[in-house]
This record gives sequence, structure tokens and C-alpha cells, in this order.
Amino acid sequence: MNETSLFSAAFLTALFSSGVRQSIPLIYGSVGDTVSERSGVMGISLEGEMLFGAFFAYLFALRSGSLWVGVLMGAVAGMLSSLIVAVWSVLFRQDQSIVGIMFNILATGFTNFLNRMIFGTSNANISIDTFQPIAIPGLSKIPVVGEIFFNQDILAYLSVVLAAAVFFVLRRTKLGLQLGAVGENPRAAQAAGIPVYRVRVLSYMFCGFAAGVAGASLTLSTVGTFTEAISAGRGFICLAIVILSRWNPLTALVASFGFGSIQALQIRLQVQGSALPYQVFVALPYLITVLVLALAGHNIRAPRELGVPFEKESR
Amino acid sequence: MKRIFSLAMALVLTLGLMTACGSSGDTTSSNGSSAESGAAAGERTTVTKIAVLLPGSITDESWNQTAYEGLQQIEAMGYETAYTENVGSNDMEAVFRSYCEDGFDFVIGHGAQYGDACCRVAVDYPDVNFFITGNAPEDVPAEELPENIMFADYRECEGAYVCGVVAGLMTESGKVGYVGGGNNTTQQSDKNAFIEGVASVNPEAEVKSVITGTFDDSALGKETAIAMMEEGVDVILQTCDHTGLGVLEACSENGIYCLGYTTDQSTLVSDGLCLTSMLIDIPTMISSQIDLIKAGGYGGQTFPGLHDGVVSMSAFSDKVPAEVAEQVNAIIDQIKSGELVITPNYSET
Repeated sequence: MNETSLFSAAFLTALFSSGVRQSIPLIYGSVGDTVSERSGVMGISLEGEMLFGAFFAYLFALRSGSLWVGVLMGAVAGMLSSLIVAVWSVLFRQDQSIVGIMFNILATGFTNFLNRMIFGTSNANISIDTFQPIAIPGLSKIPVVGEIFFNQDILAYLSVVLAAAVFFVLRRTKLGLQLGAVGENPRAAQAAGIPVYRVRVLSYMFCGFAAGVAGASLTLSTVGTFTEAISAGRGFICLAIVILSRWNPLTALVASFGFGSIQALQIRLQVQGSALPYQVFVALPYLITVLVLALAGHNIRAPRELGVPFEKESR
Repeated sequence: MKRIFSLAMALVLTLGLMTACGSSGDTTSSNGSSAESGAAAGERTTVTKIAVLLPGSITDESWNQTAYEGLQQIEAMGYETAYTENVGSNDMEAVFRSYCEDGFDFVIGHGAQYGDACCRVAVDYPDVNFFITGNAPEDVPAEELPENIMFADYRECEGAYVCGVVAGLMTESGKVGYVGGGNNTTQQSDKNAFIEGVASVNPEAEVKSVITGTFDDSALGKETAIAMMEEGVDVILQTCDHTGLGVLEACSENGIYCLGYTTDQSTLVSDGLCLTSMLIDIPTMISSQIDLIKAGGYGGQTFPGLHDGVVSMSAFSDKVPAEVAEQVNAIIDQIKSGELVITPNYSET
């Protein structure tokens, strides 16, 4: 292994730029899930909503010729598909994990089905031009940091805006307070006149919207085409990130960046060459997530009524 | 107390998972010597219903899609066919059994990883023929393999070796890359043969290799290729289906040479950057089994490769100079004639 190149500015720049790129879907997903979990609904189905988002974003971007139409339709697809889960788990009060898992299986099959129906078994050569990096004037000239954070594509910048906006809403607005109340003590919230079901359904739809954008970022800013099961487990990583970041969207932003960077690092360590079996590297991002949870997670407190269906009439 | 117990349980389970993911280590295999260990001829000479178990999805433009094409050829001959996609290790045995129970009399496991499960199932269904598109399990002696299974230990590594030769001759930076998907024997022998091929023509060249651990994550494939380019890699071979499509995308975008896998992938990459693809004629490999079954005494092991056309190379792109093409073709001829023997090397490092 070449020790000197591991810590050179060029290496670090490349490493963390890749980390930022790989964290984009995670940021959207975990920020969305933060909102829905604050209101008491777990986003187990994030993975499936990402898939819907990824497929429809690609389809509409290809047909309309506009990446923005793609992103929008991906987000709408994520939101509409999340409605299925919201209705089942909030209004019909079914177990959120079971509904979520069922939905993920449905999403895999359904997006594969649509993909083959529309494109046959061969769409890999119908690729579209992806979002290109936009250098922010001035800031992008800062050595190392400029290249890493200020020379990314538009979805990267928007993810930061989204995380900040959600942080502000949750901390500083009446809406955020209501959302938290619904997740902590829905009975009291209901007594205070907050429409519990409506808040939960809407916050879950927001989660679907964000997951849709996460999927769109995979097809429209990374790969340029849809490949089946493209979400590849990222939805589940988002769930871990939300817990790790203690339901704080800005911490989730940082944690996503951390995960993306470790993923980027493990690839680069393999490229550098090592005698260790590759499984060690592939498992590295997940091992570190588990370790951080184990070490720093002793007093994590979830929203009290997270995952518990709320019944209006019961007492 | 309860908490400590559950923590301990979690630890044990995690460790169990980790060891399960680990590998079986080196095994010395005596392939090539015991060709066609034909079993005693049973009755099994009729075929009516055929099923395939696939490790991935039929849209990967690669490994799984070609098997699907093979199945379609069989269907066109008038047979009833079925397939199941994404059959992972925990489902293999159940899917094999359910096809046998449903009256399928020829069941195909597409990949060496299906060998173990197939051996367990095959003994219970002696009237059914099985076919594995990969080598037989290494820990089972050849004479103990169920006689109703045919293993096609096809020499994909010969194609990988040729890819290595092309990469070794075409690299300008002296650095080439290999992106693999996981650790089955085929993938390992691909990687090792590629490294051998590079070294045979360009001993100075360095091979950077990454195993992504997934055949489905095209985004990760693309980032992997980018990480290689940062290190100066200028030719990449990928053998990982959907993940590989991301690699091709990155090569196409950044003007780096790549080598295709299983099907002619040159249409997926712009400007002729896909120098050549190693083709595995899986459709024919699968559809030709029907005649073998009808001939009777089906089962044993075969070792098809470049010499019988199961493995071949697609036409070179216009980026490959004539003298390079000539040199590569000479090596292909040497392998075909048996002058140069590429032994599959399943070791992991």
C-alpha cells in the first residue's frame, strides 16, 4: 500500500467528493424519514419508495427530455406510493413493519414489471445525460474543501437546503411542535385539537416525496439509466442513519456524509490493494454504523409512540 | 441479566453471519483431468418441462439475460418452460424442490453457487435431470456427485485471460482495473486469469481490483470505476452484471477503455471504448443440453471453453490497433489448440 498517496490533498479531495455524491440519496431518505418518525410512523418502506422514485424519474426524464420533470415526477411517484403505506398503517392501524416490508416487495416486483413492459429486457443502452456539477463561484476555489462541497450537482445543494428547512420547521414552528406532539403523545395531541391522522399521513407523504427524490438522484445524477433494484438497500441504511442522528435532520446530513465517505473509502482501500479479504471492506460501512450505534447510542430516545398505531376511540 | 443474554445472542448471531460470508479458503481442485465422468445410463431420456433458477434479473444485459435467451430458444422448440429470478442462497433448495414437485423434468441452476443445493435435491428426484452452469462443489469427490446432474465447468477464465492480454497491451498508464461482484469460484477464477493475462504481456502493469459485493448496485459500480480512474487506471474489466453497467457508464463518460462481459456490450459504451467483450454462449450451452439428455446417460462434468465456442471474444473496436488484434488472436488460437492451458485458479488473493 502506498502510504504517501493516502493522505495527499488530491486523494482526500477525490475521496470526500465521492463521499458527498454517494450520500445524496441517503440525505433525502433520512431527512424524509426523520419527519415521518417524529410523527410516529416508521419509514420501513423507504426502500420501495426510492425504487418508485428512481424508475419514474428516469421514465419521465427520458420521455420529456427534461431532468427537472424527471425529478418532480420521481418525487410525486414516491409520494403517491407512500400513500398506500400511510393509509394502511395510519388509517387502518396495521403493523407498520409488516406493511412496510410488504410494500418493499411490491415495489421491487412492480418497478421490474413496469420496466420490462415499457423497455423490454433491454434499457441499459437508453441512457440520459445526468445532472452535471455546478461550481459555485468563489467558494469552489477554496482548496480541497471547495472542490468537495462546492462543485457538486444541483440535487446535492438542494439536499442541504432540505435538511436545513426541515430542521427549522421541526424546531421553530408550530407545525414542528404539532408533529412532535403527535409522535410523543397522540392522545394529548388529539385533546389539544391536533388532527393526529392528518398529521401522520401528511408527514409520511413528505417522507415518500423525499424518498422519491432520493431515487431520482440515483437514476438522474449518478447512473443515467434505471437498473432493477437500483436502491440496493439504501432505504434501510437511511433508517439506521435516522436513529444514529437522533431524529435530527442536520445530524442526519452529517451522518449520511459519513456513511457515503466510508463507502468511498472502502472502494479506495481495495483499489490501493490489500491482503485482507474483500468482505472486510464491503462490510466496513455497516460495521462502523453498528459500532457507532453501540458506542454512542446508549441514551437514544425515540419518539415515544413511534411505530404504535393510534386509535381515536381507545383509551 | 436478560439484557446481557440478548446482547450475547446478538453477538453470536453476528459472528455466525460473518463466518458464513467468509470463504472456504483454498482448495486444490483436480479439474481438467476427469472429463466426462459419464454416469451409469438411467432412463431419464425424456424432456417436457424445463425450469431455470437465476441468481439475478433477466434485464442485466449479461449473465442472467443470456440464460433467459437460452430458455427462450428452448421454448421456441416447443417445450414448456419456467424461470425464477433472484434465487438467493436461502431459497435455492426450496425452489429446486418446488419445480421437481411441479413435474419439471429438467431443472437448471444458473451458476456454480447452485451446485450444493442441487446435489442435496437431486438424490431425492432420481428421475429429474439437473444442469449447473458452473463447476461441481469442490468439497464433494467427483464419484459422489449425484449422477443425474451435469456440471458445465465452462472456462470463463479463458475469456478473462484474453481480456487481460488486451488490457495489458492497451494500457498506457500501466494500470488496469478489475471490478467483480462477489466470491463464487467463477468470479475468482476470472479475476486471477485476468491478472495472469495482463502479466503475460505486460509484466510491469499493475492490476487494481475491487470486489463490490453486489451485482445490483449500478451507482456503486460507477463510483468504483471513478475511484480506479483517480489512481490512473485506463482499462477496466467488469464481471458484475448490473453493478457492471455502472462501471461501463463511468468509462463511457470519462473516455476510459473497458471490457464487456457475457454479451457484446459495445453498444452500451460510446466511441468504441469497449475494446471487446468476452462472450459466453450461454443460450447454446443451455439449449444444447436437450440433445444430450435425449442421447441418454445424462450427467457428469464437461469443460467447454474457447475451443468449442462456448467462450469467445466479440469483434475488436476500432480503438484496437491491428498489431494488438493480431497478437490477441494468436493467443486465442494457442488456447484453442491446447498449446496454452489456462487453469482455473479459485484462490481469493
